[in-house]
Amino acid sequence: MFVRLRWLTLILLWTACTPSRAELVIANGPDVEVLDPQLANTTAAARLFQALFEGLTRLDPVSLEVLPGLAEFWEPNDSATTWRFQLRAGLRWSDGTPLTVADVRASWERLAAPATGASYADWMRDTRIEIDLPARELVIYFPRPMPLFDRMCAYHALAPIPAVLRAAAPGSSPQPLPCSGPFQLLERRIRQRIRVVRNPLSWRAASVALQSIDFLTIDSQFTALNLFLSGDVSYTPNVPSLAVPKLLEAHADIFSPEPQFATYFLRFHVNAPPFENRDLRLACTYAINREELAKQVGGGRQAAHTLVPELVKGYPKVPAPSFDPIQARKFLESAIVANGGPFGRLEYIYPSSELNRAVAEVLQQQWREVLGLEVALVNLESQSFRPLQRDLEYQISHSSWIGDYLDPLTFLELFHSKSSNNRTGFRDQHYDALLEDASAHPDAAARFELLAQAEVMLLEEAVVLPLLVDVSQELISPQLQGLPRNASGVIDWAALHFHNTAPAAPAPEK
Amino acid sequence: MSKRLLRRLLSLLVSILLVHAAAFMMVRATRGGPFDEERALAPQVQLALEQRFGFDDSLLVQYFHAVSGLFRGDFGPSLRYRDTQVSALLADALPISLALGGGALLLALLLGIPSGLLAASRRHRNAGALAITTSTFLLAIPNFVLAGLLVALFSFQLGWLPPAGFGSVRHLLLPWLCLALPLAAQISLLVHARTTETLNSASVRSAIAQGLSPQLLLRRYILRPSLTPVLAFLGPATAALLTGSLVIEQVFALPGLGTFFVQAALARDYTLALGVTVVYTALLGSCTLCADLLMARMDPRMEALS
Repeated sequence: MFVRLRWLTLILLWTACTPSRAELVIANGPDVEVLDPQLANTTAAARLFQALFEGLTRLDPVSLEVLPGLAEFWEPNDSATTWRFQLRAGLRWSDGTPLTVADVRASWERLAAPATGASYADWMRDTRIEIDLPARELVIYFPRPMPLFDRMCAYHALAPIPAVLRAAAPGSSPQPLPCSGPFQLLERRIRQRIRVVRNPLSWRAASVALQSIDFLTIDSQFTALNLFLSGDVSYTPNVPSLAVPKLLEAHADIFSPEPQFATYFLRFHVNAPPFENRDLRLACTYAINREELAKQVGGGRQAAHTLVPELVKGYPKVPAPSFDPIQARKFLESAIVANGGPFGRLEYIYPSSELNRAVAEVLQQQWREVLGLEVALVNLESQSFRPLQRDLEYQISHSSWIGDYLDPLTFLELFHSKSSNNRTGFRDQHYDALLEDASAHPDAAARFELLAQAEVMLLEEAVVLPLLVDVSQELISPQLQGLPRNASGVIDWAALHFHNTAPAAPAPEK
Repeated sequence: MSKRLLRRLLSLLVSILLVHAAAFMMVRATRGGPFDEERALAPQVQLALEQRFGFDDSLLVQYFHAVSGLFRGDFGPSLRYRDTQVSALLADALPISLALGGGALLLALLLGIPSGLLAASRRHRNAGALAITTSTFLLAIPNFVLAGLLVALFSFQLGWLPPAGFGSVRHLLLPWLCLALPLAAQISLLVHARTTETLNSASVRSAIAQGLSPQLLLRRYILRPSLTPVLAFLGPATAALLTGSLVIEQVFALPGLGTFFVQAALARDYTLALGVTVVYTALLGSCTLCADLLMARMDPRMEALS
């Protein structure tokens, strides 16, 4: 009897108790699969690692300007092939051990090593690093100009990682995991949540207002929306497209889509028939009404005529083909002449998703109406789609890219002859030279001019067909302050605070 | 009996080995690999990863490693959760799936059996008709629609239960209901059909004529024959509950096995896909075996037949 009562009490207690909540709870999207900033490359992981690991620099969430992070000073040489950084004095990991330039060097060497398995290994390819421990200085030598390296240092893949993680076998996550960011890891429950708590040893500890944050794993956007509307989470990065019109109409205070540094576009396989024919590519480009596409696809996404979203200050406006049915038919006629007859059924492959299907169906309809072309749609799951695109076993394929840093180069370098992300067969020495000259150019305006010329070339050759600029679909509780929407999804977790609590003292800036 | 049980256990083991071999071949034959990402890996990085996870060995050697791992209960590290062993992922997720499926099964029995008996009873014709109509409706409605309706009612209209999440029984009540209601409907219809048949049998009519009390009648003459088809149904139904809760896990953000099952296959996480397949095969086999044993206990004719 006593045993039964004890069980009953336990069950009642479990029923009654609600798991403890962190001060801030967010729906972070898919699971962060590896607790290693060098191996993670999803936006969900980027959000978490911005809280846990600080780079030598960081980005201002409003202006996206580069700010000092762990480094208090940095400078490139004239050709931007050498960068010198000086770390702040007294930096410590969350376990109290000193964070030095030796950590930075060892981290970057690990990132470059193929055995690590990092997708950003090429950023550190063929580099040489020298350190001066007492002076807290590090100098990195690149075999090529890297004019944006200070901006890239804000990305989590380049954040220093602790010795215990470096010493562990690649892919293993030792715990406790010392952190350098405003928060440190408290608990990880796979497919449930990751809880982080304030890191008192962060150099910005005085400016951190929140004590703890839960990053919930929520795969379904509908579930994330439900949790937000019920008040269980204060932030969700994405909402279902179906909910967007209603949110715009009724919740403009918490939902305000902002253009992101991310583009949806098409790749043409330019080395094989039928799309080796430039006129056919141009016909397909001029036949697409991107404004109509954006309207039909919805979700607040905007029409894109250029590959690089028009969000980079100082980057010139690039002339690009827009919807012109007459021009489209002219190009098709000339393509048919060159082909020796009409084109048969064309094929468009896309990775399975609700949005990609909607885009594909609108494109198919527009090509049929304007050009009379029949394009078969082939829906594939992502892991089947990627090898087909990589091995150029397609005619037209859906693509998207999120800029790693706010600069046109992050999009344009995809189509460099040597890029493993090219996936079109496009090889042009003049294009490559424009990118290389741009990187070597010390003057920002002249550099942008060269990059713009490269983009014009890409669009004139119709290697790609830009479709849509992605938008942020964040829902932010009105109580949560210090979370401005920006084009790169940058969040300064240290600056977040609730409406009824005063923000912490600003961090001393050099 | 013990010989028969041993034979069944051995056949379950063979089934697991066959399913494991088939799953191994199928995941490897599918195009695309675990390291195909949107941002392509440098060739030397790709090669290093393939060497680390043993993909540079022949398929036969890889299969041998997989089978020897299976006997040790070690499926190796997940290729998606590269810092976690598959066995650790399964150990975390399995209790959640068992709690979800077990709770739903219990609820389904508690709702389905009485409503089936009530529907068959001649005294409560209206209640019976209502039970049949409700059962038909619950069988027709997809579980994600049911989930949406329940969330709208209990989370947003009444504010009693959280719309998703995991951590307490409150978080499991709606998922249990979503999984249990269609199952309860099936049980109710089964019990109703068999009870109606039993009530019309000569033995029951003679017992009624002898003036047996309704409680005694129910216990001695109706309950046992009415529950036999439910038991036969329970084996596959339990397995279906445990393996088919993917949608409910997604809707309610529950970290059970169902999500792993689909995501591992889609992400070409070979080791996790094999691990989940083996666990599901073992669950399916065990549930069917338990149901057969129970059936044999309740109805000795079944044992004689088997």
